[in-house]
Amino acid sequence: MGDIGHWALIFAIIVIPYAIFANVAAAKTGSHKWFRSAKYAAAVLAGLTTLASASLVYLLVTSNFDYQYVAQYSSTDLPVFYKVSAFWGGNAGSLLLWLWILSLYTMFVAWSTHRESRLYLPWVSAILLVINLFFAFLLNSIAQPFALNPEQVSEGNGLNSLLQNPGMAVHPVTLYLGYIGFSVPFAYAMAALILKKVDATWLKITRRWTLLSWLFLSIGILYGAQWAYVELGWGGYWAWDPVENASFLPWLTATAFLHSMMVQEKKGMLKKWNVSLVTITFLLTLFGTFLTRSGVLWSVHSFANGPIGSYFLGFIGLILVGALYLIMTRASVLKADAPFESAVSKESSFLFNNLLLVGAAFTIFWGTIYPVISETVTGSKVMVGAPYFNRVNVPIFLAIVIMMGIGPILAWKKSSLKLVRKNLTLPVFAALIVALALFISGVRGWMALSAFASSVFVFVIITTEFFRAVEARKKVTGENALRSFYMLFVKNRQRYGGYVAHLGVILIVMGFTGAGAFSVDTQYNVTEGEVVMVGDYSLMYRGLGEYSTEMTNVIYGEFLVEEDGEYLGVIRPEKVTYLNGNQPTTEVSVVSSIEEDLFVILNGWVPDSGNSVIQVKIFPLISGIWYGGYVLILGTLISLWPEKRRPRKATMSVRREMVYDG
Amino acid sequence: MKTKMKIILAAITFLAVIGGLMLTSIGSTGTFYLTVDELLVDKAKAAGKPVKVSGNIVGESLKWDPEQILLEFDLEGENGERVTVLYEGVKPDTMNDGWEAIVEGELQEDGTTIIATELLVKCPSKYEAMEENGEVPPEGHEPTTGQPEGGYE
Repeated sequence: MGDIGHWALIFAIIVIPYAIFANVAAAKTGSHKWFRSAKYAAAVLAGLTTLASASLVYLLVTSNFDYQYVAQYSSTDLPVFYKVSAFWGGNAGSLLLWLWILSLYTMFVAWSTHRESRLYLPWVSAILLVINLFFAFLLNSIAQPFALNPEQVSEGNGLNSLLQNPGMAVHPVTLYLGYIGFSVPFAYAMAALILKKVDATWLKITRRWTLLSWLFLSIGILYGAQWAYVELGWGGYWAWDPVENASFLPWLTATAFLHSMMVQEKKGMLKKWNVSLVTITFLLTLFGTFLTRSGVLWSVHSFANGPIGSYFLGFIGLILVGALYLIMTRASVLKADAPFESAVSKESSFLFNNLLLVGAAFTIFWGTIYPVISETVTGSKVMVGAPYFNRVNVPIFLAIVIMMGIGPILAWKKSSLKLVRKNLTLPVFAALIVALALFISGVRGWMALSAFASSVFVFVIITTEFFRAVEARKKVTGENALRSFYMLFVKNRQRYGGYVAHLGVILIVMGFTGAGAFSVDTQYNVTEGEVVMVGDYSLMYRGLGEYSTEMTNVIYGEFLVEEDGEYLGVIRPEKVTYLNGNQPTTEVSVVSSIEEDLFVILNGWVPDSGNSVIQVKIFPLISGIWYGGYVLILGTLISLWPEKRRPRKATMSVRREMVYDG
Repeated sequence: MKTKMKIILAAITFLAVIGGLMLTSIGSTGTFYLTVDELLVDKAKAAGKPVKVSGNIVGESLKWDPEQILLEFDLEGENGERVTVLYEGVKPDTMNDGWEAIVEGELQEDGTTIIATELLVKCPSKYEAMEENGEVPPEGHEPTTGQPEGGYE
């Protein structure tokens, strides 16, 4: 089976150059034969990578330790699910996953039809294939998944026990689906530049790609945060480490792109900006993969240590130079159709939200690579951590939240200041009341106060928007309120789905604020029978216990938990040691409710006394992060949902309607 | 033109504020990142300032007192120089002999002890290099954090 995978990858690297050539020939000559041949080549490529992936999965599932990758990341005692997930447990495998997904996307695009597809597709496919070529090259040279094991072994290393968690098995795949998806809008943007066609066609075609990729990226990031929270054993969910930042950077620029593309679609402005944003986003997805692959991971000490890192940097440089060249040479055709008519308008609010998002991305990028910069400039490495990122980004994010409120009440082209002021009165008033109430109840931190106040501000504006739209619809159509509410989503998915997503963001902001600003963290050394009071909770320690499974030995502390005198149940935070010598893991106990989480960690025990050392944390409002995530997903899905196909006349009137109310 | 000017002015203000935030924060939150050897060369200069120091864990020096929740161990530099680390916090699951750790804290006046507020154990980079060269690294060398700060504060 391994031979099949090995040869599939070799054939892949032969097919790709041919497919690129056929596409360029189709673009230059307009020949239908070349075009068709290129389409089939893309399908063959997808078939080959599917074959290679299937063969690697087969080797993993059958525990064939003749292959080095299998010996390194799997073992016979793993459940099948984790054997499969070892596919992306290591370097070579995850690069193969990259190529597999990318080639499937490429085939999907090559076989699609849309307006002017015959014109666009050869160039789009050619660009996507160049990216395919890079990954196929890596897989055939320095990261070979089908390399044979130099020594005979009867058992593999197994998958890191921390990664043996369903969420963690899925997390990398969702991130990759998101990362790789951005190569499609990027390829369309470049194709549009090559063709000197800079209307919004490429944006309209790729809107769903962008949204879907963005959705996968969001889910991937949230999954990662949740995994860290429950699995790593210290109750962290976001620590600003380089790898987290690496996934957050393209998310920020993609979020900016999602908003600014509306300005180009509706008004024909910000063309250069959009092309640049999609390029930056794509480059950042490569940069993210580079960071996780190059050993920059935990320390900047080993920056670009391995050969893979330098290949990635080289490829990023190549793409950057190519894209810059195209943008520069096409600068004259990228002129806006119309100038800004007023500083107070929807388009300008989108521009400022973009500045904030890209600004945040820049500060995070700078902080992440600062050790490298400072060493080059001053000779000594200076690192920045969470304090830097929080101090810089909390104000920026607050401004972004406030923009989320202001944006909806501004009109396209020009807003009357009087109307804006009128629409702002209620939300500002509500925000101030909430801030005052919080202040009176003892909340002092300005960050927490402004975060809650601005969340309320946005919430009031969005609900008012819904309320007004429903009322207006009821008057015109005579439908009941519920039906009108539903019809809003049918008539303008993009807008109202977006509002729902914004509500999700607000919940997430509140979750981060609550858990960050008001968390409690205490440590105790408890004797059997002792009762510890933390917040509204009391924990009665009942002593240590021990049990064993086939692979593990587990020691746990047992506690009876009560909240305000009401019995909640028994919790058993654990320390797990593995008999095969893997590092021990800490299994925390979390008692969740909507308002807060009680988080208990068994840190250790005092020998011979039965005493436990525990850490008890309370994270208020943290469920907002996860529930907000679901709302965000729901809102994005609403925006994504395909519109019903209508006869041409009807589509025209819908378009007009969108211009008027959007 | 007037509108354009207004927008440009507003944009510049936005960017200036962001830039200002960055500059002031980098200056006040940046910590020097040194190896044990580099630290001990600049002992006098480094004492009393926040530093991040990387070195290898000396397994036999490890003392973990769960009652006080106090971890004490030595970090060794490439040249065999050592510095003692006192970390008030929980022992990470990965405190193995020879593994690379990064601690953040302050070097005391005596020049031989660091009181650490953060501890991060990473797998030795040679294993990563080995992995990239296609060799099999020792088991379970995934990096694990000690007690990093919980993100948003």
